[in-house]
Amino acid sequence: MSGPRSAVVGAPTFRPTAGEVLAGVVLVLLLVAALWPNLLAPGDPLATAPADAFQGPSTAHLFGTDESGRDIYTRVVHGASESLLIGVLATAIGIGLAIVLGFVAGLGPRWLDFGTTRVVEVLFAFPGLLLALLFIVVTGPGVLSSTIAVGLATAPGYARIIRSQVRRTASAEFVEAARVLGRGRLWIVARHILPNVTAALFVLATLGLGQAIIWVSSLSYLGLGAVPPAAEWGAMLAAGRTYIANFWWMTFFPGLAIVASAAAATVIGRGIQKRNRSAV
Amino acid sequence: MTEPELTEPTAPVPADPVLNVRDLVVAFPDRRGAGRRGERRVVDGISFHVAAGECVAIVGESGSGKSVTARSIVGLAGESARVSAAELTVAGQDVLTLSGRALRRLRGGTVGLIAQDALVSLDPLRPVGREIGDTLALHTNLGAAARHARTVELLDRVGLPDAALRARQRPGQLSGGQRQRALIASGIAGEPELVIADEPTTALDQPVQAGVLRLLGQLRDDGTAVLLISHDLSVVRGIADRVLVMTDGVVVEEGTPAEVFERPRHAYTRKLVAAVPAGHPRGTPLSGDVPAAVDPAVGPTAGAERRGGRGMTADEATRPTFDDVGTQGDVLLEAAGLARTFHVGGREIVAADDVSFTLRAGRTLGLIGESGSGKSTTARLLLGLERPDAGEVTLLGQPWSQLPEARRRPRRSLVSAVFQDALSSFDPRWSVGAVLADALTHGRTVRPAPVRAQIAELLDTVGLDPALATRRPLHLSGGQRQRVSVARALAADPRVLILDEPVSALDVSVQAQVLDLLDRLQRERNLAYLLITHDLGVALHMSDDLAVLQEGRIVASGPAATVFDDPQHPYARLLRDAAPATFR
Repeated sequence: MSGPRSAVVGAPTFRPTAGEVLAGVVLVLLLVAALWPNLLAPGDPLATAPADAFQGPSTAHLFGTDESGRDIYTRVVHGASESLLIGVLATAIGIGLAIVLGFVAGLGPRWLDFGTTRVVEVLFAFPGLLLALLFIVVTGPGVLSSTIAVGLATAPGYARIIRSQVRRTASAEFVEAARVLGRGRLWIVARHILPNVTAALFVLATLGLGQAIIWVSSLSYLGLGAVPPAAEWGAMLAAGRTYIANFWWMTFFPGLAIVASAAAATVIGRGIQKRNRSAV
Repeated sequence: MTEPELTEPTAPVPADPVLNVRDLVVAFPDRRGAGRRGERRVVDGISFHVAAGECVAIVGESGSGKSVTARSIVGLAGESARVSAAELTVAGQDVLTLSGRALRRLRGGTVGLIAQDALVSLDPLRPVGREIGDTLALHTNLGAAARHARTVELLDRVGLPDAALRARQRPGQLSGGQRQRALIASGIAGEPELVIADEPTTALDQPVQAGVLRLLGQLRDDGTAVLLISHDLSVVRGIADRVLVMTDGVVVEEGTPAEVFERPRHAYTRKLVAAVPAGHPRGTPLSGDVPAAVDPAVGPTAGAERRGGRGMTADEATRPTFDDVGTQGDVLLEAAGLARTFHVGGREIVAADDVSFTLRAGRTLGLIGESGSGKSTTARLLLGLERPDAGEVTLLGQPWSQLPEARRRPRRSLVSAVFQDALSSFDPRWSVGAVLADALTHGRTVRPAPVRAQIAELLDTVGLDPALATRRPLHLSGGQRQRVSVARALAADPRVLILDEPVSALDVSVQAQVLDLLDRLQRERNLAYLLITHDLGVALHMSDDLAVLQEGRIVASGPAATVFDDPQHPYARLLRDAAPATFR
């Protein structure tokens, strides 16, 4: 009864690569560190011990100690929650804003699309960090304003992707079929366009998380976000900068945490993207 | 039923055939099933030959192995393919033992290849003349000036007007038919002894198709051996001297077109020939295995009007209950003076101009025309997806096209549609069950559970296994997908169905099943159909009335039986004459 073109049945294999397994482990560690830091490092990240200042990595202090004798391992672990929270929040702000812009441009009347797109393009032309700096100049430094700044700075990039995704879905034949069946505009947006765009967004968000962590750390490093002695990775980098020639571990381990978490998020995001494409 | 076994080719091998194939086997490694080491024989021991001045056609449906056969002849079966044969010679050369270099000389030189889709086969950034010039440079000793002269001569020979100008143009500047002609010119540039044409007309409108076929006929008459690969029996019939019918990698029948098409011996050929809509009167089933009729449990026979004038089958006795299926012939939808013009880059494209017709219950209006004639725009106007610049569509005597969308929406269930590309008309994230649940509940839910029984009933109505509800359309075959889209169209219980090229993406036997299904549903439910198609055979088989569309205007219309006998417009006759010979 059916045609001779038999379809491929069964999902493609989802075997993760070694890199993806490693990235997964890093992400899990990161999550544990963010949610239950005491499981990994029971100490107090702010407890000073001037006698132990500038100790190199050892069994007593895995990552060494800083100028006030605070344990860097404990601080890196406890800093995860702040870095991660700021990263997630910044990404959420960026993507949230981008969804609004992207849908307005993608579904709105022509003039609105034109206006929104031009604004987004101008913003996109600025380097993201410059945009974030501009925002902080206006609002003043601080954790909250640096988070919002990073969110704002990443939004134009996301908005462009979302707009094109929205437009592609909106002109798809199945949307036309839904109109023929008598479905309203809002229904189509809610049932067809949003879910089809969200699938792509999930990948974007994962990739964006890594980027956001780096940017937020950068702002803290410049002294515009979290400030020492807070256990935030960027702030720890800034604190260690003065001593970088003599006490490398003060900058190396927070830096490693930033690189590892950003890389893990990117590897996982790419992995999802790859499989998404082959599956659909 | 036992089939006459085809042991020996019907035609004796001449002394010196241009192409001689004996026991050709093409196998691919079988990737299904992890770890299984096996082979799948796509071509399983076929033998044939083509002599000079002869046109041999291989017909079959997708997956039959016909294209792989053609490609094997020039060593293009693919890297993973294992090709073996007792004999595979082209102009005396054994293809299987040729080196890569010799094979390249063979292709374009001794053998000319004409591929299916000229738009894909020609480099979009290079003038078509260069494409032909390259072939000449590779296979002849002509100088640049002579090559250019020869290029123009070749383009002229294949019937391209203004050949010198065309040679400088890029594929995008040519129409589909012109591109196909340019491709043929490059195929025959090396003065090949054998031309292999793989579905050379599939992407073309019928009048253009006829021109390309005439050209291939000329080549044959000039003494070239032509191997034609096609799924379209009517194309083959007009030109081939001998026909091979292929299915599942074997040749099941061989003979002259008259023998094969009028007295088919093999069951598969009979099925294939019967599936061609052309020449079969309205209402006769095309597929041998007509899918099971409506389940008796669906509903008892309602006070149903029997339709006169057409052959009835037994399954017509049962039909589902409908409160009001209306009387056959009731005017359901009326289009009056529809006009629509698009402005593209400062140019005006008239897609509809004074288009008027009526759709009646239980009757089919066939709308035919070439691509770009405004067929799809007309469909969109009727579906309320596009607003006419002038004119009006009325539905059941009430305004339709003039209504604002919000007021049209409640009545949309009356008019439904089946699209050409079924796959892209489904949300890729939805299962078949979700698609139908959505249609059945008017969008209240996509969860199949609450309406499981109705989904099963719908799938049964269109001849599908209810178990398919859990599958995604992506994992269905083309015919199954189109049945699902028919099921979706029926879910809201419409009175009018707009069928936009519903079968043009399907193989001929699958097409036959879908056409039979549509025919049965029309009789059961007294639906009015607007059937949009570029295929005259399909239109003639399905329609009570026909309208011919050209450049947005209806240039001829009337009862399907007579519209071509007494054409009010020369274009209708042109279309008829251009159509392959089967149904003249």
